[in-house]
Amino acid sequence: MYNTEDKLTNTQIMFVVISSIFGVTGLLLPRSAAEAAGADSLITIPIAGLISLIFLNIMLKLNSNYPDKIIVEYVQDILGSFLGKIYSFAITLYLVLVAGTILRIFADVIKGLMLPQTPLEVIMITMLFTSMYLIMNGISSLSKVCEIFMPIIIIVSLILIFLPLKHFNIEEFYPMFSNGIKPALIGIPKIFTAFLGFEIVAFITPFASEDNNIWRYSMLGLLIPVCIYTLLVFTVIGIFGVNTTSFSIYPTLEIARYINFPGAFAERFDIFFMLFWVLASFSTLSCYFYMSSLSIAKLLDLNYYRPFAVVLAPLIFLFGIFPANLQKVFTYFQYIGYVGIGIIIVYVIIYAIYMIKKGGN
Amino acid sequence: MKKAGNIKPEEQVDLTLSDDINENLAKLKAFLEESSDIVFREFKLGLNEIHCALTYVDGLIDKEVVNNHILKSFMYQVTILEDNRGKPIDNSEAFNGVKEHVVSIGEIDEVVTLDEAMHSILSGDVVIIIDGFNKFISVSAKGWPNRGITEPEGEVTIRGAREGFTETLRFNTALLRRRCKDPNLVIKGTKLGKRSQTDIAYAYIRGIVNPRFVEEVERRLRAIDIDAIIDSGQVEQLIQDNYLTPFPQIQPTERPDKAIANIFEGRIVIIVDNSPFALILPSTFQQFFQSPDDYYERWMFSSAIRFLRWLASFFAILTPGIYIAIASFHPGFIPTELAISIAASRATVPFPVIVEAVLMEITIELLREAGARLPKPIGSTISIVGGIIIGDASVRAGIASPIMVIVVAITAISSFIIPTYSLSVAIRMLRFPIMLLASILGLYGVILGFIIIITHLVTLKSFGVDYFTPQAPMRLKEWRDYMFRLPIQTQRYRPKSLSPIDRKRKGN
Amino acid sequence: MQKVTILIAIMLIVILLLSGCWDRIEIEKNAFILGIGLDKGDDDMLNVTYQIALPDAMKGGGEGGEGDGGETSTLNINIYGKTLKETEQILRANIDRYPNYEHLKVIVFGEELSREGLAEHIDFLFRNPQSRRLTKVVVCEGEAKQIFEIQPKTTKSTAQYINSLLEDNGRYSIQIASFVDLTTLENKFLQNDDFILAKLKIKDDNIDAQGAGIFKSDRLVGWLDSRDVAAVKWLKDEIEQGTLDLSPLDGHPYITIQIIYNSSKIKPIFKDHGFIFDVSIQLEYDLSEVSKLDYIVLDEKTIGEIEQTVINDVKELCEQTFYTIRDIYGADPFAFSNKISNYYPLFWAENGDVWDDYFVRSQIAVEVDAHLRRVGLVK
Repeated sequence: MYNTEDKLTNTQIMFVVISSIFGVTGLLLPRSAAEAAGADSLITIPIAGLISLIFLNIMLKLNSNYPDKIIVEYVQDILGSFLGKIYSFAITLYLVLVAGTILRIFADVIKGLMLPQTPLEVIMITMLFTSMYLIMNGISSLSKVCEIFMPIIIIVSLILIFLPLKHFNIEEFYPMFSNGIKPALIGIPKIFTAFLGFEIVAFITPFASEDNNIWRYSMLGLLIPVCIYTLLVFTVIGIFGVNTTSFSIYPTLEIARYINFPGAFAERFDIFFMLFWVLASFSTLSCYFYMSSLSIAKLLDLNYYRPFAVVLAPLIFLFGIFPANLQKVFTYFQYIGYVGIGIIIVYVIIYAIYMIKKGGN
Repeated sequence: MKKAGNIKPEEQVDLTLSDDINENLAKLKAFLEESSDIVFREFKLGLNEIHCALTYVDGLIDKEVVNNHILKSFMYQVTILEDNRGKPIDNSEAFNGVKEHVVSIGEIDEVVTLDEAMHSILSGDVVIIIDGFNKFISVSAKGWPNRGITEPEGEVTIRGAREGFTETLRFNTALLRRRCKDPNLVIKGTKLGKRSQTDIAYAYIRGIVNPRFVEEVERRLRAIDIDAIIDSGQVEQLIQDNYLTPFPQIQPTERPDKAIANIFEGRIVIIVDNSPFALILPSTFQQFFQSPDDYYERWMFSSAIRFLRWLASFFAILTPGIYIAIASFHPGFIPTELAISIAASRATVPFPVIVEAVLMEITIELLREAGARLPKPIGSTISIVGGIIIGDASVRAGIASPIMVIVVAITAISSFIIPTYSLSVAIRMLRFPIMLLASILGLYGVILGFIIIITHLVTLKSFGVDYFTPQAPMRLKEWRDYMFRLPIQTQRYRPKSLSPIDRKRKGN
Repeated sequence: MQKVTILIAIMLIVILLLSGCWDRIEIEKNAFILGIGLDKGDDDMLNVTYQIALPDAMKGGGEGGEGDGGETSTLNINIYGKTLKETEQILRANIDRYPNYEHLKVIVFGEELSREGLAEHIDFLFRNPQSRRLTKVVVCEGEAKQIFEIQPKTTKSTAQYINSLLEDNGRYSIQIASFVDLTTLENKFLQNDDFILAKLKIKDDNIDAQGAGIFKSDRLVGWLDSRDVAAVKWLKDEIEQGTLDLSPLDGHPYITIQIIYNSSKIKPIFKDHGFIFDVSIQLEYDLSEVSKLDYIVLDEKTIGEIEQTVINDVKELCEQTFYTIRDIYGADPFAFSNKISNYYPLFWAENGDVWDDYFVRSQIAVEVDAHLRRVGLVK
């Protein structure tokens, strides 16, 4: 048939980037922001967003030189086979770990809020299999699913942000920069991890066709989560104050529980919100799942990734189930986030090497 | 040893025609004589008494035409002709003479093989055999009982043409042709079914439709290798992209106005003889929510109705699942008063919600199917009386709660709102797995089911067109005719997903 | 490809079907707890009253004789235990259904328990994902247990009655304290703030919600009457609507006004080692009742007088209440400490711990800007 190869449209690129960033972290971010920078996080988040924009830009620059290769392939071109393979392996491991942690946090929230007696494993496995079903159908299906779910999720997030505004109290922010700008800056790395996920552009370049404006749309794809996260943290802290925000485990959920829905068809808005959050987590998980399968396939110089999705599924499950309790999950998540930052920094070095090599030639 | 009667004639008979009429007739009779509806009429032509024969199927021909324009001509016309010329027709010029001077019918053809001859006999032509020629004349005198053009029953509209397709291919193509005088409207024909030799026509407008669709349709039609095609439904199943899905990827229609509108949009319509359902392809998911009168009524009204249908499809799939999830997992989701009232109404019900729901849903499916199969006046009585009585009685007997009855009724009504039957069936079926998931995992199960359905929809294609356009891939320009139907004034282009050659539909 | 998909689907279904449904509790098997009353029991124990909905009685009642006042549609169960979770455990032994907190409307604290502190008893409800954040918290005179024994005439259950009383009427009356929900309470506990809770009291076999209990950190220290509540609401900018009786004008009748708009702005000013809270209140009101029929209100002079009375009354009310609360209880239910931490973060960082010392020395300066908008249909 017209194997309209797996080509993505502009909007699909945007939504794929959004969905790989915007997911599980949305629940945790207000707390980690309040912990890291208090009321100053209102500045920290846009700054962290800006920094991730810069990294994204570098990534896109390097990508544009290898339009038909993903990061795992062209890194080997630049660094040589051995170093490149090590770096690619690190990336793959990182992606699998993130996927596992996302799955775990997702399942923990669902279990805690909706299904207290259901075994964690069941929630994780059902999610993983559903995600695998999507992955098996290729990037075009993945991007279409993101394209369908993301607009809904964005709208629901905005509702979540704007509905409880009557409780909002701007004074919660007043001692802004009470200790100078420093705490706001120190919090940046911790908050920066919330925007990880934009690496996906390094995996979808081969699927973007010539007439795609990948630069503009992936930028937009990063900017939208940055804006929503900023608004979200703004609302949560404005309603609960820094103390309560950092005290509760999922502040975003607390906001949802605090909403009295107009028309009162739903007594518990949190469950209503959770339903859409399942969609968001699903697309984030699927993005990471896809990236890791693709990257392991390319690491082994193979053109088909589907068998690796099957191989990776139990691995992701094991990584997810491994931490004994929620505290450990969050600690791991933080560490994995730092690994992500490390990978990005190494990437910048690789970019420098590439530029030098190019200059040499 | 095979018995003589079981040996197929083609195993004994040489299929080439000879000059000798008796030999030809014998060959034909070997095939056809056993059937009582085949008529062989032998007679002598002109003064030279040339041996001729007519063969046709009684019932497929118009007797009037055969008597007046063939037999009568042979008997009278020939004598007048011979009189005028002053010499009899001799054997050598008989064939052309008959063709040119005798038979006063428009559609006339020469047939050179036995195969062709039999085929034209069986499709309602009259075949004239003349001694001394190894070819036959086939005259079209088709005329058989038909239902006439009636209002389509499956796709009722408030406004719009009352004509529906009928079982005769030619009438159907005529219905299309009457709606489009563009010479570029191509209606190509082919035959399908090794034994049934069913006529198939596919229509499209050259210059609008993307040729790759035509090629693809032709390729897929050619690839069909089956003994008989009874209805267009079989063709649909044989040429669709994916048969492991509940969702129809080709849209059947009984309405010529709908068919031609889709042709104008750049699609292809397949018409199968003996079936009043034409097939529209490629079809996307959103098309199944369209009804022709959406386009004939004012746009605000149509948009509201269109949106209602989408809502109804969600209700039809999700309502029972959501109810089960809420009633057995998340009673906190609904307002206190409602939760208490549901709890009170379920107090006497001995089953878990899922059992109650499945029982009631199966009951309503039974009623629906019984209503559909019975004669029309009884059918509607059955569904109304059965619905009311069973609903009321099961509540009184404590088998179901009143709220469950409401849920089931809403689901059923919602599934009937979807204008296309084939999708409505799919949606009705899908609510059972969702109910099952809901009873295991609550609302999480429902949303999981929803994700799986969406994922599945997204992977589907209809003749290479993404099934879920314009939602994914998102084409905002086509949203003008999607969940809402915006004014015709704004719909200036044909859907891009069909990549038509001529995109422009309307000037400024 | 297709085969793999089908295989996955089959595996998924089989796994699910084999393992069953873990969380399924049919809705009628739930015991919907509508209200919880917490009282002090003997030996450091809690005496917890659960008000549980009886759906049949609540919904039906059509067949039973009306006016049979004694018939209740709720079940009150009284349990002694050390913690809320423990009493829930005992509750499970007392009723054949599963306790469900998702429709918990109100938590009532008994007086005695409140005087010893609330925070340690209520953590379960913050932690429990089932409980709603909008559950209202109130305090009552006497025992909470007795409150739930009142069968209100207009609503099926005491808990729902209290809920709608506080939610709807609290908005239209300045005398009923704005309700405090679990989130607000958690916030107060975390910041160690003082607050007031609406007070319930049994009056003639009915529940009366006038007045409030004043809490210093989490201990009840005293009661406020309804006029004090109005003042606290003014100082916290919580008033939306409500009526106010004015003190009699010289030789003139009593006048009642209906507040239609209110906005209070509070700004702390640091002066002479103490704080002055600059409160500016903006008020718009209609005149709703005059106790003398032939009294002409629509007259420039009279309007001026009325406006002046309103200004004086509000000002006096606020100042009186503020100083009373400050002097008698030393409590700060006005959340003035938050203002300090917001406006003077450096000062707060240094002296937050000894805020009480500063608070008893602080003062308020009330400024009222009030306008009469309408007088009704007669002059």
